[in-house]
Amino acid sequence: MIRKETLLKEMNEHRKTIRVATWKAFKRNKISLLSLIVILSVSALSTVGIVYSPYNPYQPNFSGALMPPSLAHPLGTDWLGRDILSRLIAGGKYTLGLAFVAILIGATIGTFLGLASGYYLGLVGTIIQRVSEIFLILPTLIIAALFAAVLGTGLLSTLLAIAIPTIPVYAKLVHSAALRVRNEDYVEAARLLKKSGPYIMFNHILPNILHVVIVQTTYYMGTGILTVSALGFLGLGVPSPTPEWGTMVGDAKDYIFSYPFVVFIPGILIAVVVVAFNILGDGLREALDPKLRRLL
Amino acid sequence: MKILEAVNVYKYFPIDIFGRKKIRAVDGISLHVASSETLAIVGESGSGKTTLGRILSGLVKPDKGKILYKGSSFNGFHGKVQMVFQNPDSSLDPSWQTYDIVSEAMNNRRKSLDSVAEVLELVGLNPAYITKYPHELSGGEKQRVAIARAIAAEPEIIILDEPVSALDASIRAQILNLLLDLQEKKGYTYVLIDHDLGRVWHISDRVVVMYAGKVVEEGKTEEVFQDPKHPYTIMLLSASTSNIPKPKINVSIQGELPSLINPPSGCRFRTRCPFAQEKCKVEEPQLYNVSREHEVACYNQF
Repeated sequence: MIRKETLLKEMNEHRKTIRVATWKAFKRNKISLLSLIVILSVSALSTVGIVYSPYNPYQPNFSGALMPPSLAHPLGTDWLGRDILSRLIAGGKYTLGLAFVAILIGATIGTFLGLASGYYLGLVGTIIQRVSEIFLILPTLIIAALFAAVLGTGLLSTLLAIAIPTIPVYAKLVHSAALRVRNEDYVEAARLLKKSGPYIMFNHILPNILHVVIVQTTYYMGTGILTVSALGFLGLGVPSPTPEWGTMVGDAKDYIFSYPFVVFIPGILIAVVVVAFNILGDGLREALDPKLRRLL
Repeated sequence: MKILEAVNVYKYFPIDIFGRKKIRAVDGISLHVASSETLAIVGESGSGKTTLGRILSGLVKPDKGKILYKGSSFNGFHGKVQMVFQNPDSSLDPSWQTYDIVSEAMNNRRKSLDSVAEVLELVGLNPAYITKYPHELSGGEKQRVAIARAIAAEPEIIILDEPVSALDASIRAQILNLLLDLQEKKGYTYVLIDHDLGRVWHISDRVVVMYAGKVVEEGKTEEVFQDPKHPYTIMLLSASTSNIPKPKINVSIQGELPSLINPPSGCRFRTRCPFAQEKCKVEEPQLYNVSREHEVACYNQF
């Protein structure tokens, strides 16, 4: 008869081979692999790296202000003599963390809305899509200014200012992806098996459009970081002295001609991380598409 | 015994947002399927046969008319009607393994490795296939898994929507024989939607010929093929390259299917019919019995 245990084990192992093949396909693209390494190192530095921060990021040292990069201060000091490297390490959790949490919240809500409107269509779907379109025309910066005015500047208003405009983007993206999948015969087959709408949405539609969501989220992480920084730069985001990277650039803009490194070092870091996320998104798009799986 | 019945069903698909222009895919059709028989629905692409199949399965709700299952009308799904689709690439979820695909159709009590292996065996697949993803299967294997899913639900009726059209010619006979074997073993009722008259001749007990959303001829397959009464049926039979009885008169294919948004007045086939009369323009011919189980909608008698 059938060797039950062996078959079950083979099934699980076979499931793993798909993951391995995806990783192999991703690894083939060296530039996106490099981007992943950059993102992971910056994230590690901003979290566990805090322990190794060489100086207190908030402690002024007026005798050592505006020092160019040296052995004692690898990235120099700002106009209050604070170590820029230590400030960048401390600021990562604001810039990256805020963007990450905000995009995650926006993506989750938007994905659910898009799934529901893409599967049910009808009145529910139309309402979700029309409301999304209205929200889509509101620029992020206006919404941010609104929240800053109502709630005051800070973590919460930055978070909302990024999360809320993200929702309609995902609602529309997932809606159109779900529309493509909902007419596939396997969805019809599941309906013939008397499966419920939510069951079909989460078991048949979501797994087959998840790669779209993951890739979009990677791109949007870059955009989110840029928005956090832009808000910080304009004074609508996380207020100083918190060393959010955009706030650091904004606070230092008076020194752009006399001591350009104070502005450029955090600026370059923002640019590098944003570009890394975009390249990572390209790499993931190629590796995750289930349609391309047969080519592995 | 009539197991499935369509009573005067209509399905129009609106194509503009105001719903003024509509494609009349199914335009007033009544038919029945008897228990354990194979009913074939034939017609050109665009004749509405696929829509009719989807109405019979419950996937599409008719605008008017009703579907009766064992004499009582039903809305939605009761699980006793399953479907095998035309395109094997789209009928299996690409992120699911064969085990999950087949066991999804079983209720929780029956769901087990043994019962999935048993069903796979019925469709001629080795139990080792449970680990495979759809992209690792050939077209014929995919169609076998799709059939396994359909029979795992323990249906009474299986709607076969061009089940072998998309397969390699060498695989078609295997899949058709598999379907016939299963019918013999389990007594399934089949509704076969197909445009290949050779397959219909070999497999079906009764045949319904559709033209532009209407039934033009219906009857026992042997009777309809050997003594076709509608010029459209004669045209289809004349055009077939399969090994089937040749009609007494030859009607060559001309013209194309008329617009289903603005169908011709009277008989819909008159624009292509070599025997069309003035009357055909004015009044639509109704189905009438030429013999006990043979109906045709045409003023001419052949």
